[in-house]
Amino acid sequence: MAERAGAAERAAPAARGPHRVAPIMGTVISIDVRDPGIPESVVDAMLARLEEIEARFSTYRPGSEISRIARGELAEAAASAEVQFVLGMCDDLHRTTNGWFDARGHRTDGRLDPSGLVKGWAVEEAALLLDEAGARNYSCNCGGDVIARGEPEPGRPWRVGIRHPDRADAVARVLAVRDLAVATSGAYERGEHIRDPRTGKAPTGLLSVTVVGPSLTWADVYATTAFAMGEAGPAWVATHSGYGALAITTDQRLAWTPPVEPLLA
Amino acid sequence: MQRASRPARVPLPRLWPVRASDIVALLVANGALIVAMWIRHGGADHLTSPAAILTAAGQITALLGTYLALIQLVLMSRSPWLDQVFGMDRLAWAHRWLGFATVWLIAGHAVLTTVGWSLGDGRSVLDEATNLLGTYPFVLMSAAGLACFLAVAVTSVRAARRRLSYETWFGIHLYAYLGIALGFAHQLVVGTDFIGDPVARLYWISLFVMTAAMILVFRFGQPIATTLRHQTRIGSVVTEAPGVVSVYVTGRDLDRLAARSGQYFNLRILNRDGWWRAHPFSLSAAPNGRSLRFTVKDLGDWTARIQALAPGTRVALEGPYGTLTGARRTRQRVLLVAGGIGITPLRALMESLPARPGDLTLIYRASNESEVVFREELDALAAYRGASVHYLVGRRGSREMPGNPLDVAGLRALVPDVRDRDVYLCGPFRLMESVRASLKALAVPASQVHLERFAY
Amino acid sequence: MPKRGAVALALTTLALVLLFAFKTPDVAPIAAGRNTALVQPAASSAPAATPKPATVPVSEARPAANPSAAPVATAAPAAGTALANGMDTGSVVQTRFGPVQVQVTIAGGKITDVTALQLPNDRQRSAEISQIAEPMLRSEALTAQSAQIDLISGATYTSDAYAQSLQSALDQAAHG
Repeated sequence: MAERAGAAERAAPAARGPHRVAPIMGTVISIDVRDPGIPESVVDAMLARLEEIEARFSTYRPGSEISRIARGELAEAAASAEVQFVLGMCDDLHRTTNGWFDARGHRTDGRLDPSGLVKGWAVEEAALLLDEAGARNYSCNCGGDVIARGEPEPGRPWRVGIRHPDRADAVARVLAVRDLAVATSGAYERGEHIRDPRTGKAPTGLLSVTVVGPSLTWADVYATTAFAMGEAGPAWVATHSGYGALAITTDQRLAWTPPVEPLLA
Repeated sequence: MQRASRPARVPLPRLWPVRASDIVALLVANGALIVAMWIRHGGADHLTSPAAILTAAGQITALLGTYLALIQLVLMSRSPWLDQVFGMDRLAWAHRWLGFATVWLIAGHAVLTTVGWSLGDGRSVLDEATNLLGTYPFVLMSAAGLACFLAVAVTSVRAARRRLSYETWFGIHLYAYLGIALGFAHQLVVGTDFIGDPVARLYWISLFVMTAAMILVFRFGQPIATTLRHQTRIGSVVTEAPGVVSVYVTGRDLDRLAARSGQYFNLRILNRDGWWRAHPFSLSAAPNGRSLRFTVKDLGDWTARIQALAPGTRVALEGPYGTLTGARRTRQRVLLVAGGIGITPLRALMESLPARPGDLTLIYRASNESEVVFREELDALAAYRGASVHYLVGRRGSREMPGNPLDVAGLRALVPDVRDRDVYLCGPFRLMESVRASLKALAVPASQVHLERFAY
Repeated sequence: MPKRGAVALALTTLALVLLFAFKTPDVAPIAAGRNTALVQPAASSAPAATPKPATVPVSEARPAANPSAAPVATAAPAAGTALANGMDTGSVVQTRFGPVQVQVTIAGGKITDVTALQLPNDRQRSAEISQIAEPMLRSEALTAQSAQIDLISGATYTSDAYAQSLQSALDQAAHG
């Protein structure tokens, strides 16, 4: 097991904000607020917001709006404003990524599934509540999607480890980030669920892609898309201003684009 | 009238150690190299979409089409090696068929590339064509080159050729040179195989350079050198028979001009009317070192111009060409079969082919008496050389000649030992084919039968 | 030579002169590395246009109560606006091989570097594009690092997988 994290300071609870770990959306979210004076109720509100999003968007809940739309019971035009907004974003992305991002056709059963977008967007929505409460230094990690705002301690950046593809308890590289989102897409957790929409098969050449950038929504989408693209993925991410990619290839190499360079710790 | 006399020694044209299989192997290997180059550059990779397949097809048709076009030029370059191995008549026949294949490939390249790119870009074909022509360097030029090829192809179809005068057809045909030249630039600048690979580029350029060199040397250089060296001029013009004219060409050092009996030259009359076109003239007498005698038959109004030629007119010689020579000899005994004006090269062979008395037989087939030329010379030669001459004059199906005198029975009767002879054939197409069939039926090996077509 | 021949020759010469005079648009060829010549940033007709990161949908949905809260992304400069210093990727340039996305470096308000990037097309039409794309990625061999870490980014883990993960160890350590 790796070294214990440096945030093992046992500071008095009042000197730090809330630290919460909670199951949500089939995974676990870790919320770590470093600003003192942020009440626990903000974190409660975050979790409630995430729950609300899950209720609307989860493909695992038959009663969710997305499931109902997929079954044809609910017309998209009659769905909530939020769902329409997200689906519209998915369609835009489908066009601008030349089909690589595909919420409507990527599943083997052909069902509507915007979770590639919703995953990161949900966390960003929740983090907004922290911003509105005045927090400036916090991190959220929901299932591997990270928002790292400010600094964990004055004078040093958040150190985000990229999970090693082979071992759950090891790290391949560490990125030092401030005010950035980090999203990783890979096949090692859930198996080959990500498909190249052109061939219908799992992409080869990459074990994982990590995308770093200002917005978790986009970082998440870019990571998923870049992973599906395979070896051309990182270069494609680099064409988007402000975003960098770090990829772990099947031949056991790490490759990254120039924006990532200054972040390597 | 030329008397039968022992010809002076003139040098014989050099025989090259080249065979047909060598040349074919070289051309095929080069073609394979081009395909391999295309594959190595990734041309056959990623053929996963219609756009990719069409684009790849567009590339390979471009490469092979251009290669064929260069071969076309080489076929007509008057290279002595090709003439020796195949004969100009077969080269011209190949040129005709390859020509259509070439134009199909190049036109196909234009269509496949445009459609393939339009699919790949998501544009309409018209937009893509405009894009290609307007923004890619030298592509508009190559489109003009394609137009030249199409003009040449369309006018070379038999139906069109019949309607066009030779001058018009020939003039349009020259645009093939222009077509090849116009297409060259875009190949190097836009061609996927050549942009990134300097070796491939060098190879491609060298193909063009070699083709150009062959044309320059054999089609232009050699005739110019021969003409300048020997200062050839019209000596005199003699009418042998109605519509049959002999032209004596004189000059300097003609005893150094290499030529064989049985060969022909392309003559280009260097006056205002005739300089732009060369006509084939057969040697009708063995070269004697002092003059060259050519005999031609009326093939158009230009014969009248020949008859009106003033002695001393300068004439350019291209050649000698032709494979109907003693170089093909395999047997001691020889049969010469002439039809109509085909007598001309055979008359020269009769004079100079080495043969003992009794080895040489000539069969001369003509429709009527006025068609028979050189009768006195032939008789004198026959007497001098101990050769037999058979004149078969008359129309087939007439009272005098109810059947075909040169069918199997007729030939066997005339020449019982034909199977042991080399047979030299020259005459109208139908006659030659008929005699060839009879010879085959008589089990004369094909290696002993030598013929040259005049019209092709 | 017959008169028709002379006419044909004249017309052909004229046609050739016109052909050679026709010039294709002189887009500066994208050479590897330095190129200060014309580049049109962010052509709106680009087929693979960049989704503009600046328009983070969250900000749209909520006109920010704290405008400074949302992390700022660098916008791709629109055509005609002044060039902001920095590196801009996503601009599309029309080259003779089709549209190519480029990375443009801007310093002192001027373009100082243009690098062409590969597009994920299913077929590289022209070898020149692959020639001129600079190597985008740096790389090193994969190892396992042990260093001070605050949190882990990885492929999405389930709740069960979380329990085995490094993130859970970090979380526990934080909680005590």
